[in-house]
Amino acid sequence: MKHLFFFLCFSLFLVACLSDGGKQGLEYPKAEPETLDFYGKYLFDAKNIEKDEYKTFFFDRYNNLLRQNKIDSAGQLLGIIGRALNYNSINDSVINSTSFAYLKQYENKISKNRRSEILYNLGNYYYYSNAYDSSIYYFNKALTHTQTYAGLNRDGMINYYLLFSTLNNGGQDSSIKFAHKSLKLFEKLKDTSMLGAVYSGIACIYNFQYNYSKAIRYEDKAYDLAKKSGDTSTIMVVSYNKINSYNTFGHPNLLPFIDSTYRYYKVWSERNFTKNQVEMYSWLALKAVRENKMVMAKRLLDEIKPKIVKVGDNVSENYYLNALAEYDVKAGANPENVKIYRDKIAEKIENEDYLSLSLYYDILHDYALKNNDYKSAHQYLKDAEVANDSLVSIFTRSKVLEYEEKYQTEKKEQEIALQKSDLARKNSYIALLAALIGALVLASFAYYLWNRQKKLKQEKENSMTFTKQLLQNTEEERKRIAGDLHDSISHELLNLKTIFTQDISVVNSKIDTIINDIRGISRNLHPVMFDKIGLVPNVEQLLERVQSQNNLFVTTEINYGGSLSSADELQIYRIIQEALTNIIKYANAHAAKIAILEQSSKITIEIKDNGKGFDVKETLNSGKSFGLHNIIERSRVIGGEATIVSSTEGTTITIEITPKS
Amino acid sequence: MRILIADDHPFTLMGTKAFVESLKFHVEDICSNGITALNLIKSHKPDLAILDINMPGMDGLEVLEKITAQKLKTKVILLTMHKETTIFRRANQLGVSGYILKENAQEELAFCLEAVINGDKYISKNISAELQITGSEESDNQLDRLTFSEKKILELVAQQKTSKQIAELLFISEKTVEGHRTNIIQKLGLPKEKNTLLIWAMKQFSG
Repeated sequence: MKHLFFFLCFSLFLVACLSDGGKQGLEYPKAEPETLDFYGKYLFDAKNIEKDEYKTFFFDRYNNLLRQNKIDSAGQLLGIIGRALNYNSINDSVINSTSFAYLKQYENKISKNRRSEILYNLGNYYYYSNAYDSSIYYFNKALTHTQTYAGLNRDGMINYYLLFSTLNNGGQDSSIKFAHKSLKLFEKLKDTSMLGAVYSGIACIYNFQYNYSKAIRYEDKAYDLAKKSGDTSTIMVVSYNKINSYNTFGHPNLLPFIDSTYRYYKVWSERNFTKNQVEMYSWLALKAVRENKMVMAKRLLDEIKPKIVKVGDNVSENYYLNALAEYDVKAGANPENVKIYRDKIAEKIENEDYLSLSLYYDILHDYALKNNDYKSAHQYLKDAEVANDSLVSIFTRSKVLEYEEKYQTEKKEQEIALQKSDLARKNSYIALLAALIGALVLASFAYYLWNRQKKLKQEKENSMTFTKQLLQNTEEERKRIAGDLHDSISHELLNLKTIFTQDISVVNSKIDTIINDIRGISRNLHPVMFDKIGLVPNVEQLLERVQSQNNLFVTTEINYGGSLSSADELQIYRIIQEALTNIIKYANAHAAKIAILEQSSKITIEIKDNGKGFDVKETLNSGKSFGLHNIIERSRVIGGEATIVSSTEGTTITIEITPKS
Repeated sequence: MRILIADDHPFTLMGTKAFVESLKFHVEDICSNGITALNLIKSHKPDLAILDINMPGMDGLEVLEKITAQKLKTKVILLTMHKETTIFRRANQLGVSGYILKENAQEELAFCLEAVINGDKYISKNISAELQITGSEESDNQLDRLTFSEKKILELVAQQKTSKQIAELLFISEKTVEGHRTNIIQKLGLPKEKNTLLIWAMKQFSG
């Protein structure tokens, strides 16, 4: 089973009270900080942990509390010591078994939070003991599933540890799942620092898969977030992981990045405990070897060498051995170290750590040569070749993965570009269509305007012609009246004067003639007493006269109640008169029909003939249709509208009047 | 017999008064406008009122209308220049007793007064001539006995048009055409046989 050892972020959970700093949970106000009593403070103080009486101090107090039946307080103290040890990367089996015993006896009597805390410490214990099945089990049990700040934070941390537990167990899918759960929880708490740590964890997953580009991308993201949070502890954690990734993938920025991490390390005065020192110095030694500062490298390695066993941590040891191996390759095999490498080979093979293996074999080969052990030297050379081949194949795999990803990205980009161009084409079609429609609308509008203009012009022309003809007709009318008066009346009167001496009866009949002449003239000018008699009798008399004088058969359909004013009625009379004159003059009709129909809201006048008909539009625009224009104008004057329809079957003039109420 | 005379023309008024008095009638009131005339009629209740039509204030037809509407006993003779049948018809509608044209007054007024006093109606002969412009039964020419409509239909019958076609041509119903045909046959005294009208009409219009 392949194991990779990563540097994990330690929870600062509920330690805020000590440092007086801490994170701001915006949505979930932090619960009252846990106030530690004298014992709690003592246990949590890193300075005390390495003291001999540390655990004795704890057990005295712990047992005392249990004797007083203060189960919760005892549990709290147990939680604190567990957390303190974890925080300082110390795995203590005594405290672990005490936690077991406590849980077994009091599990049903303590709060959910207390139980979770102790289970969480158990999980941590097994995690650092590389017992991942157990750590997964206890971490899962420790989940609180509560929506308080403390609950969410603990669950976030648990998921973060589960990420690494499952990853080390080879469960990459579960690992991703826990990473996302953890992200969700820390996003809820707006905990930038832990978000950075989780992203660093995701980078570890990709590191595990040799997915170089993705791993680096997440490392960078994690590093940005960590810097943003300003939490030095997280910056360190993320930085170590990043250095490790850089080293694994041979990133060109490895050495400068070690330098910048060292700057943070120096500022991080608060917790420069042993483990941290071991790791930082390991990387510094590696850097020194690469830069050929062999004396400095040796000094650094020697300084941390005695501390490795004390720390007892895989990660630290790993970093140290890595630096040591590089040193030994360059400086020549050190007999003291040969045994260490030999012992580590099996583990490294299991972990597929070909980078280390290649170094080890190189050193061992070198050492065997020195001791004239050619058989072993040959074997180590072969093994080194195998390790190198594996390393190369892993890098090839990583490259292939990278190219595959690039190819997929490019393919996707191409697809997107294709879709975009497709969309653009569609859009241009739509635009074209819209433009076309717009143009069409514009054209039709222009046509409409042009038509209207033309129509208005025609109407104006017609109106002018009409006025001109009206004036002309008035003049002609006057001429006719003058003529009538002169020709008949004056003439007759003159006649009368000459015969005045004659027989009285002759004179009488002459005078009668004159009176009738005047009557004729008068009647032609205006229907006598029109306002007294009304529209209907006058129309009827008009029709009677037309029938007798012109051999035109005229029928009527009249249903008129007299709602119009006398002036309006006169206009209707004139319209009918005009229409009949037209029929007689031009239509060559057998018959005509006049209808005057009054309905509730309108009055309809219809003059219909079965004559030969005419082209209405042409005639109206010819400038010679005074009669028709007369009808239209008079209709308009009385608030009506005239419609003229004509065909070879005859002509119908309809006037619809809506009386003003 | 008390009489009121109203005319806006003083000469005509005096002339009419003199003429009526010469016929031994008593003229109680004279006036020169319609409103006075109506007031006098209401207050004096004359037996007869001789009214001009054209008068200021209120015309003769209006006075007549009021008298009829208020059911006054006074009978009305309209003495006017208007020969229009429309006006006569209106006056007739309003219950006029006599209608005389001024040009014929000299010869007709006496007859008119007599007729009205006897409770009859009198209409100036020029007006009744005007009213009967068509269809005189006594005419020698057979065609003259027919009305304008009947002549028109006969003309179309001669053109071998069916009743339906005629009806369509003249904007009337077929039933009306049939009615006219029966009347024509009756008026002309045609024999009762098939197509009698067509045969007669063809003969009449072909020659």
